[in-house]
Amino acid sequence: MRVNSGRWIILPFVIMLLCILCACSDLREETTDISEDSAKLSLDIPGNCDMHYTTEAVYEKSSSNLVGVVPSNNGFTVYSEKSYIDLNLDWSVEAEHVYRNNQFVSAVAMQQDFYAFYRDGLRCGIMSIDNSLFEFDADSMELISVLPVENGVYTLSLHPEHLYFNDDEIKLPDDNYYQYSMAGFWKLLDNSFIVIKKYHCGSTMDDFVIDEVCLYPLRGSSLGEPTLLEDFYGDIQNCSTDGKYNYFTLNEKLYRMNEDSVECLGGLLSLGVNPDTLRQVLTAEDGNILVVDEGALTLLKPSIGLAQSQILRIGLYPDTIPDFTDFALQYSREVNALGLEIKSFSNLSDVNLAILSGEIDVLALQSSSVAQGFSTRDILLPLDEWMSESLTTDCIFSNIVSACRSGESIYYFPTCFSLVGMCLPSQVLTTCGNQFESYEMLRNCLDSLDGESYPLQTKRAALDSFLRLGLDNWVDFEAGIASFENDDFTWILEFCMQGYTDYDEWAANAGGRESSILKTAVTLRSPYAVEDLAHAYENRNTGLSSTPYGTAGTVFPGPSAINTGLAIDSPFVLCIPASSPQKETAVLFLNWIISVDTQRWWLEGHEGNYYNGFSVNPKLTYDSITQCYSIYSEDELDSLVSQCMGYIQGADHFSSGYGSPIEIIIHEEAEAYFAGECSAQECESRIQNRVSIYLAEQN
Amino acid sequence: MKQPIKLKNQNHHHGILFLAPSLLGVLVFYLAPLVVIGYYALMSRPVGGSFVGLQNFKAILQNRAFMLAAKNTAILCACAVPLAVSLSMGMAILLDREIPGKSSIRTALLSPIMVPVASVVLIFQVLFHQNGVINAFLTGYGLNPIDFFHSPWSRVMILLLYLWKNLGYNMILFVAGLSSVPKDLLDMAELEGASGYRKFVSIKLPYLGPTILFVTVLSFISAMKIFREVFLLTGAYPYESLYLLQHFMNNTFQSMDYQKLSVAAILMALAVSVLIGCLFYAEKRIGKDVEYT
Repeated sequence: MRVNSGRWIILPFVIMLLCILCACSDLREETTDISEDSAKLSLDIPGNCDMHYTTEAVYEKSSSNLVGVVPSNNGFTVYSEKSYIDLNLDWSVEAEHVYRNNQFVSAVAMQQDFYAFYRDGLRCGIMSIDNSLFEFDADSMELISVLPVENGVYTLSLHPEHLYFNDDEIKLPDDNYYQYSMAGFWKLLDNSFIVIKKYHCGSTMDDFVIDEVCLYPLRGSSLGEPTLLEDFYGDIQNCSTDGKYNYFTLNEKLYRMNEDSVECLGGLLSLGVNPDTLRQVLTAEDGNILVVDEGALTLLKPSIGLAQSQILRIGLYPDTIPDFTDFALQYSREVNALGLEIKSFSNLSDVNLAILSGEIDVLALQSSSVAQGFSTRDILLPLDEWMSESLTTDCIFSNIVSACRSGESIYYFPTCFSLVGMCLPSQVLTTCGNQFESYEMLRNCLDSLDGESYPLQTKRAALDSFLRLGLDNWVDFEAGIASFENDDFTWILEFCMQGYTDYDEWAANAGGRESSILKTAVTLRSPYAVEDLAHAYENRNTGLSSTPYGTAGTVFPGPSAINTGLAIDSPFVLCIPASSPQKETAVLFLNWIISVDTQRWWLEGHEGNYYNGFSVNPKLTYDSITQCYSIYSEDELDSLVSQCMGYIQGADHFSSGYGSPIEIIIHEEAEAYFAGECSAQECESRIQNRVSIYLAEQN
Repeated sequence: MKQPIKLKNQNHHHGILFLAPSLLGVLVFYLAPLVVIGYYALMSRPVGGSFVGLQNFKAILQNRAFMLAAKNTAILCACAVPLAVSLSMGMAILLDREIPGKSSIRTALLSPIMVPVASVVLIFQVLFHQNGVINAFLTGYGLNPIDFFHSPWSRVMILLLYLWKNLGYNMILFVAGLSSVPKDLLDMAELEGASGYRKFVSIKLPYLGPTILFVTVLSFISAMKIFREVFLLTGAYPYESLYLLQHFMNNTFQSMDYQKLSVAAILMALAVSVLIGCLFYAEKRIGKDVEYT
């Protein structure tokens, strides 16, 4: 009896265990529906030259004249502001990539930046209404979604109080019409549907969450009763149909579905499509898909059994490094066999866990200080051992390599960089000896000058500009010693204290002021910036010098006994975690990114857009500088080129990384000083105290 | 002859089955992490490292940040735990007597437990900030303001926060402990003419032994957990006197320095184990003559 009762007692545990197992199997089913089918079906991208199309007839570079793409009988019709052309499958192909800054305008108006059909009078004035796809009542319409389907074109418009499908008002489940958004058209069981998403606001007004996805059946020119689409979560977009399959994008992946299954066709980035600027997914009857992003039209041919064999996983920290997407896209387009997957991380702990679990193969970090921290932990691959041929002076400036050196190895490198330094009138700098070894020397120099020496920014901005010059003056990272309690740092704090409390105060008071003699942090991002130094102190209105010392300025390193060159500022650095299971592939990717061809492509592509700075390739940078100064006479050209190359080759340390713990500590304590809660000496002491703990922890 | 043996074996299997869920939990959530920590502590780096023996232990004992954190944590525990135990016991003894408003006082002392940590931190920021209530009060009387967050006073502030948060709960435990002291013993002592002090030392205190041990262990754990409040008040890198072991471990976790983290965790676990072992030993020695009813 006792034994029997014991058996019965076990029963609840067995049931519990079964429940847990069932729950686990349910979870597994849910995830496989979306993701794991990618192995069964993939996209056959028909060769490099067939992959990207731009058409001169409708697409002018640096112009936003393309307004819509709709399928036609034999291919697609691309509309521009001026005309349209029909593209068949054998249309004239020009394999050229157009960058996102060319502002492609799609016919889909799901995004706020679809301004072609806004009621903005000016915009409509520029764009002839005859050349647009449809004629709308521009006065009453706020936003229009336009989607081609079957034999006609349907439109969805948002009037001030109603949502319209063509000319008919859509009956929504409630009055909150502004919470609804059209995702596109689908066909299921021989019926056409309009896909509508419903949003609700999250904790903040900017935080929208998709509540539900509804299918509204098309009944002639109106809509039937909606059906809630179950098991669809997330912000599905770009819904389209070819009658057999329905396509959509979700979380930067392209999917197709029918009544029976949902299949992942691959990551958009791996397919050579920029997910950040994706506008349209259009289908043709032959099963081809035209994907439209702001940079290119990409034709994809779905086929079974040709999965990308290898996926290189790239981690980005923090979340977005937009410039990196260009490199990733280009790599996807050039190396079709290898897929790229980008994982964004918003906090460092997640990056740590991803490294530890071997989840990422390449790491792109916005801050070199984070990479430096990883390299001291010995968790990155020593690149000089794995790609020594690429880290030579043929591919990368030797001083950049030296600045990246951590201990005896190189664990990370930038692909492009800008320079940061202080600026004084050349005349003043010559008098003072061209270089300052300490802030005391700089202070003495400034105090001896006529005119307004010190810039007046906000206090925080002033402090930021000093920190950007690098922390090496106060922090010896190798020895783990901080030395903030000195006259130089006191002077910096007192200097910043003269600034305005906030931006509003600055805007109200600093408007009419002459520019100051000292510019605390000047960034050189292009040869033009070096050229502009000749007019650094020129009054824009009068053309005269704004100081008593001429118009020409010279950039010099922040006063330091340690560094003699300018600081290097890079939008991101690249490294490979030692835990990467695909080290060889990751090395190939880094070799590609630093190769002459890629760097040349990048330089040419970013012509006129020097936000990222100089290429790390010495020869290409030299050529680019020479080309930039080609309008000058030979003597002037030589002088400018040597000045520019001098700045570049002299740079010897990285600027302080944004968000580094030391920078955060300095700002926190300086805030107390700026608020008058402590003296400069107390502030220094606190910074010294806290930074010392940080350094002791790291060593 | 074989039948009883079979039954015994069945019971044994049932026992294992009953224990299995708990054992699995202990294995997954306690023993496995312990093994992982031990592994990291003996390796040169978290990914693809080599065995380095006790080198990480040697390195951490030379690390100034770790030693500072250990010192601060020890000071905080050494001050906070005895104060928390003695003050709560004192209050429990007071409340054990017939005093007016006894129930209200007990409720008031228990209420800090219900206040969320974020609110506690906010209250303490308002009170102890450079321009806070206390400094306004001090300057109002012509005294110099105290920088509570960046001076040795910061420890006092944290100590106050800790006591305010924990005294009520400890007191309830002591009240329960006092109720278990045999009434007849106290009555007999009363008849024999024993003084209040004598009754406390010779009767109540020995009977409170297990409660004292329990409250001490709880107070010790709470003292270790005060990191939450300190972190919210001062961030990841506080002023020197508030830098605790949990700061060290949290920051080393953030910077992926799992070697230091693991070694620090092992050393801390050892220290806590030794301390709690000593407490159990003391309780056993002191309470050996007490007969519990």
